[in-house]
Amino acid sequence: MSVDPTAAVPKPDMPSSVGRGKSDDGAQKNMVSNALGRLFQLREMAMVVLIFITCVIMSIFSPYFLSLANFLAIARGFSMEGIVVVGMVMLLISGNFDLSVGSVMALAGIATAALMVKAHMPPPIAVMGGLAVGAAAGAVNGFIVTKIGVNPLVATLGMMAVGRGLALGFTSGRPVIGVPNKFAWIGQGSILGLPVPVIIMIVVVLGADVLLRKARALRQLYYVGGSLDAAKLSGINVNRVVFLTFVASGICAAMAGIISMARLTSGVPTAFVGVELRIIAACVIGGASLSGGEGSVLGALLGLIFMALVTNAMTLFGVSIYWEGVITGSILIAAVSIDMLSRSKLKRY
Amino acid sequence: MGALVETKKITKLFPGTIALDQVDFDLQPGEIHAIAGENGAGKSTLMLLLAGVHQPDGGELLIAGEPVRLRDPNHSQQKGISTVFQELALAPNMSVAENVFTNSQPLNRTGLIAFEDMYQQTENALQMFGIEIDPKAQLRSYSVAIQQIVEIARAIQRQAKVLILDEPTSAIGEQETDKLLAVLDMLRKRGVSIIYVSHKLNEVFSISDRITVLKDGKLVKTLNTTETTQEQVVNMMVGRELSQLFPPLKSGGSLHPELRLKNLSGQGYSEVNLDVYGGSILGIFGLTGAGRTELARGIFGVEPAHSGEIEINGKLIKVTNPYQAMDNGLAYIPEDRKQDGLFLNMSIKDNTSVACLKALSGTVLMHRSKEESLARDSIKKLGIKARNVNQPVSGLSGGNQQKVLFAKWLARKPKILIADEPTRGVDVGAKAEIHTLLRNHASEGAAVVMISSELPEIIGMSDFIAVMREGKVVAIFKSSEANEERIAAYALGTKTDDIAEINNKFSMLAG
Repeated sequence: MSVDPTAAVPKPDMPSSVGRGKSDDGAQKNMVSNALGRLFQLREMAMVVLIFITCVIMSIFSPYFLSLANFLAIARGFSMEGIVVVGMVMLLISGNFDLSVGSVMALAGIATAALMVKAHMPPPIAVMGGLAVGAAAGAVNGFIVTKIGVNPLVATLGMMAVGRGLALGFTSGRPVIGVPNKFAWIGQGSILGLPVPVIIMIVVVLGADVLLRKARALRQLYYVGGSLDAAKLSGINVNRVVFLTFVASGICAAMAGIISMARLTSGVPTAFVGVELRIIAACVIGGASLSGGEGSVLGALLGLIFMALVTNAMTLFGVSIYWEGVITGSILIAAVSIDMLSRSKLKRY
Repeated sequence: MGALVETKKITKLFPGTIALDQVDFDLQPGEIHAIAGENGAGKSTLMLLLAGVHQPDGGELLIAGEPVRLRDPNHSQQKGISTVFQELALAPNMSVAENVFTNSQPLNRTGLIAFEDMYQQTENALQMFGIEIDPKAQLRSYSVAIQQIVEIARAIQRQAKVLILDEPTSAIGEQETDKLLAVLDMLRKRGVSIIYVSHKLNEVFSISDRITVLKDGKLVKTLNTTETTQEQVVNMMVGRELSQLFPPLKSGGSLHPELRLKNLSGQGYSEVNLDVYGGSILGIFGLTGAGRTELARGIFGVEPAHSGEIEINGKLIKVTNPYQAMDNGLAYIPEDRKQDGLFLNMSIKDNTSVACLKALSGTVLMHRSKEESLARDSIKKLGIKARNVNQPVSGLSGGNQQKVLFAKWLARKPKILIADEPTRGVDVGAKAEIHTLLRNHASEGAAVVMISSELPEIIGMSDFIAVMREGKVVAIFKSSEANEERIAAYALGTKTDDIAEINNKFSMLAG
């Protein structure tokens, strides 16, 4: 461990030269990246195993479970939430979260329906309007959290009430009906046997998963959630990153709300109450942490699938849906507890 | 007389490493026993065993002659051992008094907290440190140095027989250090035994009775302080001769200032005029609270300066946030690497690439191979000891963490590098390597600003030395004219120059 001045000289052009010299240590690199890959997918693998076991148990006890129709029904059921999960997991990674997604879903659905029914706008314009409502709600959340410095719990709790209030106020609590039948295809139709909402969800989820793992802009979320101070001092525009993530979450929620509206062919102001619990629970079960810096889209989706399976099991076994909260809440607490226990074993001072 | 605390062949294993390997150690009543060793030598592990945070995997721990298995930190405290960790365990949102009396507040007859009594006792307890603190004030309104003293006051308040201090002076200036050492001396006279862990050997030599040297988890030797020398201890710690502590100064450098501050004022500093030349190191010395860190953060745009000008290479620039500063070729290595510098739970690779994400990516996607080779190059060039690039930074020793932080910024090849306490909490070997890094970076033409509260480091490393006191630059020297006494005199305010004279002198130096 001698001090050799020349050995420690930083190469002046490190960032530009780093692409070179791949061949000489390729083997070692492969080994390392494999090991990392395994570690990275630990949570996702655990979820896949858990989901598989759940499926096996259910196919043994229920003759109706193992059928394409049932699987498609499950998938259609969680496809809207699957889109919301994408925005939520990004927020969780950045160390924030959004309680207003349920209200924004309802509000965006109503806005889109009203633009078509009341303002007679063509569906694409109406959809843009609905998404803009979601983006605006996200922007307000983001502004309050980053510029004013209000805690995201309080900021989005407020937005949750405001969004719901707007949805109920504008409609006097009545659903907006009369959406064109053609538009309903987005929520009800299918391509090659796959429901359209499921296809949209798969596109959004896969796109977001790749970007979150590999895109520079989204990688910043992990830094921001990992350490806000260090991220700021590393030249990351922390406020802009968090602001835009809130906007993205708002757009995801709006997208889900619009698809759901198409499926019901009406905008329902009282819909999606309490959906934020399921969404956040899915993310956390899938490996996200409320303290930020951790999580993945795939993990969050697997978390959601697991919860959807449990709900499906309740239906198949004839358990009243009113008990659902007990199950969802228990799973959430159990998942976080297991996480904490396994972590404290690894913890070193 | 029997030992208060004794370990016999104590061993602690961590996954993949033997942190402590059959170490014998004993603490006699009324002595200050220093533990020296590089990072990773096992000092912290030994302390954590005595504090009850970890349990040994082998060997015996005896307290007052009886074998004990400490379950947790609380158990250790009940046995009379109080530990002050390097990361302070305080509640900044509560009053000073409630921090001194955490969970042991004096009660009145009705069983409620007797606040007046508590405030009075706190004032008495803090008086022996010779500092004025309002026991009712929120702790966060005081500096780290004072918070450190509050934590020690808490340990003393608990009537600890054994006090363990881990790097107690790493975050405080020299003046407070002297105060702290005086308090320790007083405690020793009262019969308290102290285990003192510090990288600063002059402190160790001025205060301790005995020194135990650890290396790679093994006991090297326990020595009587009066019978050894600093050189001897350093050689035992590193297992080699350190021929020279600092890399040689390079004279020359450019004649035009790379960085020029004109009347820069902000929170904690005012009317700062400084020139930093390419190819040279400017050392900034000052006591805690002198405004050094605030100035650095102002230049880097973390808390932008209120008034004044920053010129880079003769061009006036506006810095209102760190990314603007980075665009102008600035880099800032912060004082608190765990809080502000590193992403502890993330990998070495993630940490080395964060400051140059753009250079490591295409339009949208990151180039994983580029990121990995940057990390691998950094490990190789800076001599970072790590298993692979995906190892989380939290598992590295302090010196290696600091090297990761340097790698992160050097990857940008900054024209101006500001390093705030670059060798704090870093072992002797890594310290020398970091000094070499700084010197080499300057030799490549960059302007380097090094903030430090260690006088030998300031004098050994700097080409120019600026002394700050109470937010102002009070003196500027060429390193050849500086000595410890002169710098300290300005920093303490026992010697003052006219500000105009300083600026005048500085332009002469520069010319």
